[in-house]
Amino acid sequence: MKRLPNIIRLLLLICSAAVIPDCAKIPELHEQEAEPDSRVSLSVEEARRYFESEYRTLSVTKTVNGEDRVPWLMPGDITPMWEKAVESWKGNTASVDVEVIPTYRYKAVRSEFRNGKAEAYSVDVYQKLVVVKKHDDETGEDRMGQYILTLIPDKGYDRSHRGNVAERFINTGDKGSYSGLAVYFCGGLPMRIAWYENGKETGWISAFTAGDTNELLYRVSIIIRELSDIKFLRCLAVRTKYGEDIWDDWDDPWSGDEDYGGQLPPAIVYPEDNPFPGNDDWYEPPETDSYEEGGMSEGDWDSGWMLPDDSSGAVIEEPEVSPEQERINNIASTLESKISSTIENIKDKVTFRIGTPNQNTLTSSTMTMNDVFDKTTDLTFYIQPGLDETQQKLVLAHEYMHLQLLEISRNAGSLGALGRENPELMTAINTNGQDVNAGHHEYMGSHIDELETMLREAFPGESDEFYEYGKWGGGAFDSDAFDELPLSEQYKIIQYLQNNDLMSK
Amino acid sequence: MIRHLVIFFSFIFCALLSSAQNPVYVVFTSNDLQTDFSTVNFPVPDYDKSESRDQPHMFRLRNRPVKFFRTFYYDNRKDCPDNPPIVKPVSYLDTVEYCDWDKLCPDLTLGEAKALMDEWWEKQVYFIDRREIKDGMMRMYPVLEMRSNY
Repeated sequence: MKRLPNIIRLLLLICSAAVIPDCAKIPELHEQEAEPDSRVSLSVEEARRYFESEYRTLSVTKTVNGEDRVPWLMPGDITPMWEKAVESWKGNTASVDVEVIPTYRYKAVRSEFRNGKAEAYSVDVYQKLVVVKKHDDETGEDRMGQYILTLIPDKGYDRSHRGNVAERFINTGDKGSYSGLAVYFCGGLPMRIAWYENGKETGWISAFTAGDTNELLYRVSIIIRELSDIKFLRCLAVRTKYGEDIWDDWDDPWSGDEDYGGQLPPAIVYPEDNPFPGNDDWYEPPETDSYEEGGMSEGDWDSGWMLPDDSSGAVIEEPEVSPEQERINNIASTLESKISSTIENIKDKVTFRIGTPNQNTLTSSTMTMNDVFDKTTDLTFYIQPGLDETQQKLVLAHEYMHLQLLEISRNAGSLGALGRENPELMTAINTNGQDVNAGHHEYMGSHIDELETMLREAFPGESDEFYEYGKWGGGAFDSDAFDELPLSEQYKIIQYLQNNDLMSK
Repeated sequence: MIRHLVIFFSFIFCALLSSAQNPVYVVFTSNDLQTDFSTVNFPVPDYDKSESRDQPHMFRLRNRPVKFFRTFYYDNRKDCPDNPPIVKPVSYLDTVEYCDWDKLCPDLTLGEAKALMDEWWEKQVYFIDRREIKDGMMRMYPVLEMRSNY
């Protein structure tokens, strides 16, 4: 290759010096963590001994009334591949991640809204064994536990990352650029769910830090509900004659290809209504030291139920009947009573709870595209704790207006039908790039007086600003209707929302 | 030689693109009329009056045909370090990359506008209103976008 002229080489060198520091500032997709302060260690050998002695607590299978059952989303009997185990640690927690040979594999089927219709797609579900040791700084003791880590990647991540996703997600180590869900099963129950984007945890719900049995079951039910918009297909795990896993040979039932290699076709699996099948006693706090066979033993409650990072605490921080939750319930009941006829179906499907997966907003919901047209699905709204009463009233009123619009679309059943029954709402959704939330806000802007009426009827005695300015919160100010207001009014509204911390900055 | 120059300038371009933390300078001509494409510079507080110092200074970008509206504000408080706004000669714009909103706005789709706002969300944004240019000097407002948080 001909040498570059010296002047060009010098200029390139100068440019490199300018670019590299900036490139260094750009965070990696998965940030390199600082050298962990290792106060605990866990070897593969120790993890194996624990697994073999405590295998029963994983509850990958259960015997109920003499019949073997595989709990929801459990892999069945597993064979850990200890030779591929990976050790890691972070802070006071050490883990050993172990790839397993399962009896069952799963696919997660979701739907997305494209070109005016819902389209189903599936992603593989990846599961592995994780054994954890945690050091308790207060007592100085080490506690161990184990769970089945279940990874449900987002569609984008799944399509761009072939092979075993579980290999790239290390419990107390690097998560790569993983985007999707991570669900931790212990004793056959989903005890923790975490959302990831580009390798960063963006939210979680945990039952590990529940104070008592009732709270634990409540949190587990919330986690199950979070997964309720996903259909899971279970099939016997298929291996090649060489004993290799087949990751790419799964015949997608949605493609119409029904050759399952001699296996039974995949079965859709659902969580049991009773998380302890055959043991209704487990809904009551245990009063005796003995427990029916097939359930969990007392020791299970006290064994190593541990998180990758326990110190961050649970998202749901309040017991069900906390004063704040009670106020939310009262506000919701008041609003519901005023608009009951316009939310006749959806009102029985929705729950408002203190706690939010996204800490940067005052509220978020479990709404997906499935919920826009399917009237059978449940919805949960999480309200950030610590809001004052003004914020709670305005936020919930706004969400109830969303529910009114969802009732319209769910009654219609499809975008096409919505177009015939309420063309204005369909147009608002369509012109906002089929962003339902933005479309609703556009519609609300044009129907803002209806929200004001709701506020006045539900909450009499508030200030004029509460009704006239507060109604524009929640995104309705990003609408044509707001834009047509006199500038002085726009300014006052924005000031009111800003002063009441109803806008992020 | 030409090929080497092409490589060199491509490198410069990539260097500028990769410098993700550079501030964004947005130049516009404010327009209080209710037109389809405009930027509204809310009534400018009189900085000589102490009471106006506590009022946030609002801006609103608008592309009505695609239903795009965004509100920005400049924190006009007494203890704000940029109070009053930064004043620089207009020639400063010759030394930086700036976005001419008057030209850009009408051609944006809704998706492009939203993506641009997401990009700005991560950076320091300065608004410059051509109507406030006087005697070769311009005001630069460090602004923040206001978004609903529910």
